[in-house]
Amino acid sequence: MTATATEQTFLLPDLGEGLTEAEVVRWLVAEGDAVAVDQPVVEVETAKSVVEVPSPYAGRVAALHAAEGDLLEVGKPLITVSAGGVGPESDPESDPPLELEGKGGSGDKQAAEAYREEERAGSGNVLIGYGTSEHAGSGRRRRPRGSRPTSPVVAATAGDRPVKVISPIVRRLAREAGLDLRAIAASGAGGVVTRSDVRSAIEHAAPASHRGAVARGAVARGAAAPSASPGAVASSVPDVPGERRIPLSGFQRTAAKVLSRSRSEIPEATVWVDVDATALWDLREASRTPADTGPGLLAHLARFVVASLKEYPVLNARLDVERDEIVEFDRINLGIAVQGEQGLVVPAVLGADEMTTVELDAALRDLVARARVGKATSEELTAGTFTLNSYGGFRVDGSAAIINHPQVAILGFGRIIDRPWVVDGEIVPRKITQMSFVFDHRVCDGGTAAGFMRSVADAIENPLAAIVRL
Amino acid sequence: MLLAPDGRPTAAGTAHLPPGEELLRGLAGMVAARRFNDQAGALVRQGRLAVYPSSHGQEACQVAAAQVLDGGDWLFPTYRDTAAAVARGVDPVEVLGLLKGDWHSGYDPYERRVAPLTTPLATQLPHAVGVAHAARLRGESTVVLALCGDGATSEGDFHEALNFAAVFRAPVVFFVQNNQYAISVPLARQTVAPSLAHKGVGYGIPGEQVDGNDLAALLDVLSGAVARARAGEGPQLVEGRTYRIQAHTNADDATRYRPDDEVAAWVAKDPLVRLEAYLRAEGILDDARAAAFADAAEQVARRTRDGINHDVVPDPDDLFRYVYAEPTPQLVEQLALVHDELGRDESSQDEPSRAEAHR
Repeated sequence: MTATATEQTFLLPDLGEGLTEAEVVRWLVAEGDAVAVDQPVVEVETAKSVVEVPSPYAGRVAALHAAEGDLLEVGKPLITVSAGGVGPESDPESDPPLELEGKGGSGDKQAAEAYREEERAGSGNVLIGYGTSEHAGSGRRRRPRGSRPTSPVVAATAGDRPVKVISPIVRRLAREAGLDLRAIAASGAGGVVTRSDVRSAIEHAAPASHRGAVARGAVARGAAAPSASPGAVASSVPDVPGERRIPLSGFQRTAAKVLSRSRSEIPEATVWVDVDATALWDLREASRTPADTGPGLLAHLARFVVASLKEYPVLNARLDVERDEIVEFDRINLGIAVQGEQGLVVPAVLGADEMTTVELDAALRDLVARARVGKATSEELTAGTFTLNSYGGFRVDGSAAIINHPQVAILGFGRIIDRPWVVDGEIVPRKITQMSFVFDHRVCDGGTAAGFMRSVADAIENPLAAIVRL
Repeated sequence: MLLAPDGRPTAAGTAHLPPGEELLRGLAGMVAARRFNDQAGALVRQGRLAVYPSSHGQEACQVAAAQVLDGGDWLFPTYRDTAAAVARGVDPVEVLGLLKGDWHSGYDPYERRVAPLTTPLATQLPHAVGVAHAARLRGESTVVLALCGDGATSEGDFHEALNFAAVFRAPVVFFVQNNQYAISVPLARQTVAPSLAHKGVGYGIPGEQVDGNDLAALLDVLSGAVARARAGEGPQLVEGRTYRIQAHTNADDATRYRPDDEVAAWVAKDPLVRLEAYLRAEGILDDARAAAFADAAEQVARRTRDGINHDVVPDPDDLFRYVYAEPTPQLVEQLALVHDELGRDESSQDEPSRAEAHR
């Protein structure tokens, strides 16, 4: 990076007390545009929220250092503004190439990776406090001795005696350089390893790490500033011929977190049953008029599910594991799995328990249409108390689905297909679907789950009897 | 409420409205406070401040709290009350010292009689009572105005401060800015009391609720409370009902716990819009005056920006210099170690060592 006297480069700041990275969502300016001080130039998404970042410099945009969708580490160049004159002076010493050389130990990489994980996991942690990163950092410093990163250059010579180090800065300096403190000659009073000792050890090891930096630069994809592309994160992993690395999008990472959490925390069990939906199918067809198509099958299913949830409230609940209590909700916010443009989302029809079938039909159509294009509200995306999963559109019958944590159950419907069925001793073609029900076994037993599913299945098979009871 | 959200005086308003000059002064303060909040918000997203809790939407409370006090009085602010400190005349750059992370965390409290911004909830309240009580014992006419939020009323310190102040008739005004949320916790999960002002009953002191977005009403109620305290009639609790328009801090996403239409309803009650509408309708404020207020606010913003953007290279010795009047042997030893380390760098004055001195 060449920072001339008239160019000022704005490095991505920590936007939320201890964050280490952000994803570029949208540039609000293009190269060549004029920008004023404090004018928003980019929208980025952190683990905590989406933020518009204002430029500290006035002038003309000389370079955008990341593409939309890129993940950028805090401290890396974000935007370069030329011929400004207002705002803080750029600090050429803090330009990225220098920073790059100090880093690169694999242990440090792992630690950074682990920290990013913690950061995402704690996304609800919004405090006035200042200690987030330091806290996580100090936890890591107490890693077991066996996992301490060893120097690639200097072999360990001392035994298992504790190393005399006073300053945590010295430990960090050594860790970041991938040096083993035990192998560093101490010059301080009483054999204490000082900062200058570590730095002279780094200088001796420099040729090797310099080669590493060059190699990393070479594999980054043709950007002027290699550190600004996703390569900055991924390029330290060696490229293996025949493999491609595709970073997960922010959306995918969030989804992965929820899915993993569900599978690791919830001891789920699955029950399923084939259901004859002919009577419901006929009812739906009978309610069509030329002017009004009437409620769709999904709305009928939703209405029956709501009725059955009222009968089995334990399934419209969450588990408070800290207090070992089941928390049942008065309200039913019926989550519905929707394949959106970005991926699977599960927005909820809020207050589904107070809706008629016709109202549910309208609410579902509206919600699904909005969710497909990413327009469901954050409340809708988080308020679900139970999920209805209709995967018949994918032309499959069953699914051992993953419960949408912290909910406790998910009910799935497969495709409706004509099958030979025995009715009154005769084999006749009927409209058959399969229901799959996955539930958190901690909140109820199989008998309850089967009772709930049967309640929905009976309503489908004999809708008129169910409707008169609604 | 003396002024309705549209700026028209209410029935009670006409009798109690403060003089036009007072209101103009308040509007100038609010315009500057809003600009200061916006500037600090930009600075935090530029990495120049570590964190910023904005009082956007609460400017009437911020400015009124400063405006009702005399020069010899004391203000005890929380971390969200930077705009109140600025309104009281503290240098805006120094006010942000804590939030920038300067080693000294701020300004000289004695210069403008503004206690340090406190981050722990409600800890400033007993301190405020102590200062007020001391002033009373000395026979001084000092009044202390202590700020806190709705969340702080659940803290033990709040109870102790109010009880002690009531028993000893300390000249202190407790001004609760009820902005409806303690970070993400809504008021309904904070108290089931009919209002926060009701809590005064339990301590035997007057409690008054006031529209926290109505500067005229705030000046009226708070100056009454200050006068009462100055006259030796003891403490008072004032609850200003207001709203935090922005997120708790830059590290918070408020859309996760409150709906957009709730925010929009409070935006419609904006304290600046209301007062400006009234002053223009009365012919007290004209375009020239309004432009002058905006210019002055811009000056505050520029001064803030330039000051915060100016990097200070800290002197490592300051770490030890102001801890004890007489340094302990341990501190002397540690200072020697630092000097030893820095001495080793002097042969090669390169960047990493400077960078570390910053940390």
